[in-house]
Amino acid sequence: MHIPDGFLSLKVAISAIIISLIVLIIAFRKAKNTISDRHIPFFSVLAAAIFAGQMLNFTLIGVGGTSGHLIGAAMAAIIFGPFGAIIILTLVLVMQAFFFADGGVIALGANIFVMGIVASFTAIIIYRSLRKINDNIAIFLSGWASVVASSFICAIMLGFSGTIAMDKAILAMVPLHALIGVGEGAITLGILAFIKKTRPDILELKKV
Amino acid sequence: MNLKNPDDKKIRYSLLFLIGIIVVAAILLIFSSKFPDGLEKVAEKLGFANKESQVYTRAPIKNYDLKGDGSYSSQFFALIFGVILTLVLALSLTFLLRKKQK
Repeated sequence: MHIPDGFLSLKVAISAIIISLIVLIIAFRKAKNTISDRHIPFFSVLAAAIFAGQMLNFTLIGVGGTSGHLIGAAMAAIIFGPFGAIIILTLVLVMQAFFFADGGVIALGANIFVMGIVASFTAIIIYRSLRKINDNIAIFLSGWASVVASSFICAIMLGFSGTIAMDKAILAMVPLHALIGVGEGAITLGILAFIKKTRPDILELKKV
Repeated sequence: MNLKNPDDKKIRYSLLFLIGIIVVAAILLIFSSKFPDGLEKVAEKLGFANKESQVYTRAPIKNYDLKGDGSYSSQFFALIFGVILTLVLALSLTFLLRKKQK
């Protein structure tokens, strides 16, 4: 869902940069009080894993010639908390924009807002409100919802930019990403199940 | 490394996880889809894909393809480069952010 330069109006892009900067300052402050030596190895490896995951597109079944890929905000938010996830996603998105030409540089704030902030907070809200019912269902739905919410906000930004009519953008983006989100939910569930089985103590690290 | 030390065990696990991710990603890369992703597809369908304008053109590896020839090796090295770079950046950042131990 990396927004390239040119899709957003300058007003929307700059608003997103300002919001993202404010949230990042809060995130770094929180991280400074939380991140310990015990966080460092897995936090860094998860960032690398999310980069790899975002690079691998999977073909969508039933929709001609379309693919989806992992965002990774849900797994990062469940493991390290929403602000930790925002830091991880920001790192990955900055690198993708400057080294891989994936996502624009003026649109970087918007990409951080959509795939970092919106995805992480949606994921953590869904996960924390549903985990008492069933942990696995909560994990799957938090991954799914993070993608759907991101696509909704992305469509709204396209609408505000005047790139395309808002209703058209929402109707095209959200149903398609409801399908891509199934992949996100499944991958998130798989990774979390693996960590639960092999190193459950990682899930007990203090959340950022 | 003393593997009885819980911190060293955590580092070993992270290393194994990293190697596992690279191996799995290298395999999945063979099957990865070249179709446009959700937003690209919507942009094509609704006719605003042509609004894309590259403002920053100095990215060394475009489209996750090191040599730009679409070959497996070219994408594989882009993957390795990206994974290592992300890891180094994340490690540096977390070392800067970590709580000083009392």
